[in-house]
Amino acid sequence: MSNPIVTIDQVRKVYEPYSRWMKLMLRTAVTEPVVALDGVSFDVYPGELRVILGPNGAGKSTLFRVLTGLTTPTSGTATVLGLDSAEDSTKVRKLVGFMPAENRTLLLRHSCRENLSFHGRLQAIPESKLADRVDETLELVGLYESRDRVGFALSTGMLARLMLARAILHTPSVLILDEPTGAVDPIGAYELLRLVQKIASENDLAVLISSHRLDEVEMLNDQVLLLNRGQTVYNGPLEAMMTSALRPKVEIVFGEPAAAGKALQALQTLQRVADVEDVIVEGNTVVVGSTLSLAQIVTELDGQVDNVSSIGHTRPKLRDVLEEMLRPEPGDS
Amino acid sequence: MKSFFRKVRRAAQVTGAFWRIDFIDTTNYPLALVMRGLGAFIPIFTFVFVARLVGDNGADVGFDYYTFVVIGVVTMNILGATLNSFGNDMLELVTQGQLEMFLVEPVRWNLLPFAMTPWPAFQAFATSAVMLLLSVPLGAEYRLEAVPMAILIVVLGLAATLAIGILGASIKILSKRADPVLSLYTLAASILSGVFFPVEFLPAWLRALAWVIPHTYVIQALRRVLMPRGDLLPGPTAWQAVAALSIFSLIFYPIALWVFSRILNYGRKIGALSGY
Repeated sequence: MSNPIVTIDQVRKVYEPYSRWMKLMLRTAVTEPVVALDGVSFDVYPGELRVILGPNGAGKSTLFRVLTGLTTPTSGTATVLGLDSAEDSTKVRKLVGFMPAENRTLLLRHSCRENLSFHGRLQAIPESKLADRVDETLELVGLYESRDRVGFALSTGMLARLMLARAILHTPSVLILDEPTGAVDPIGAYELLRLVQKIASENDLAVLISSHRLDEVEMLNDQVLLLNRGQTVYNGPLEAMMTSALRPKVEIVFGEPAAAGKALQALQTLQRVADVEDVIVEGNTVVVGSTLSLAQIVTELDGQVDNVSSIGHTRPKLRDVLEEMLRPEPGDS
Repeated sequence: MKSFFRKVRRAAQVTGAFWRIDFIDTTNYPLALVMRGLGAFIPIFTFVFVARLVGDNGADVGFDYYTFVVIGVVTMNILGATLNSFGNDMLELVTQGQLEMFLVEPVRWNLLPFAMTPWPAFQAFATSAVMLLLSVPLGAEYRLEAVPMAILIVVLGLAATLAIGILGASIKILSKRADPVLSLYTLAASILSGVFFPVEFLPAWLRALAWVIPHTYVIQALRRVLMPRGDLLPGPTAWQAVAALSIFSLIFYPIALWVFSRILNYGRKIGALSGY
């Protein structure tokens, strides 16, 4: 395996209440130290797409701010290609393409071309190559035809594409996308993420992406970092998270609702002697949560049910998995 | 040497980027541009009447109060650009939610004050030139042969006041609104630098303070070189002003950039770079 592009090692970030002299200038709501990140560690490899998940306040934005050098970790290190984001901030920013959540970071009174040319100059792209690079990038994100339109004349989806173009203009090694599909319609969001996947795989980029849209997370189906209150709850492939947190359920589809009702009775009887829970009947379908295997359930129900159309495992819903994984432990405040 | 030229090229590229964007922004609001131009005419016109009231017969004002005060007002206008524009731009970026997007670009943060100031300085320069031109038919007199020296003094004055502007902007980044450095400096400059009256009119202890302000050197030196009877005025010669402004820049730039850099790093640490 190649070396990681991004290495986050035991990063901890604590926002302290403002000092007395700072409070003279600006009031803050922070009265106690806030632990935004607490010993977070992970690597991101070339071509890998890591989705950062977590409720509001989990530490996702702070993690991105640490990586882009906008804030410094209290302890631990965040490196990009071996460069420390706190110490070598300017060099790291050259390697990172950042797409913030809000499109007001664009120059909305300026054309797509002007937006990219401006940032291209700040990103030190030589003048001789800038115009071609801007056009290539606009072509890549599907905005070439709209190149002379100003930001205010673009739809939300087009603005998201323009922000993506700005992030990839200088051919970074790492792409950080903070809720990139925020207000984009579902189809536009799907296309945008497909584009991100394509760009990442073709250019071997390490991609970090935060999203609250669970359908998008499932669509991306890659590595996941689940944060809660600054701590890592899960770090690994999405598939493994789905199966580790909740056991898969067995779904039995019957030919008619009456048969499903009969199966319900049989399962309720079985509940008294075996580990069977969460028996749900919806029309002619029964969903059973159990530690019993599919074969064991079939054996237990043999002779008691009829008219079965199909039987198999159902994939747990990501929302349920997250709810389970983020459920506070007893005693947690 | 190669590295030095690379840095200069990089600075020129970043400055050019901001210049283009600012130019488009300015021309996007034509009425605001026209109104600003008209606004510049008001003091030039007003002081015609004030000069009549004051009279032109004092050696303290070079026997021409109107030209004397116009040079003061125009200089305040020019120097105000570098004094305030960077802080105002930073505040605008914060309120528009764009500051962080600029800060994640691979530009050394210390380069930002120099890259973001040339356009507002040019605008103020152009407005001031128009103010001076407008004042001529209203009775002001200037020595045209002194214009190159006047430009040199103004450029050095702009550089010196930018150092103070950087200090003010640094505080604005954290305070978001209040800017005690610039508020106090502007107040001091408008009283002590002799915009409306000769510095010699000030009490001795205030006069001493006046000579630690770059505005005073710029205004007094410009009057001496531009006014037909400027030689009669007290104060530094053009070259003395050039030396004083250069020394001021040499002392204050390292301090201003150090403070700016420290405050940005402090803002990074406490998470105060965004928000307002």
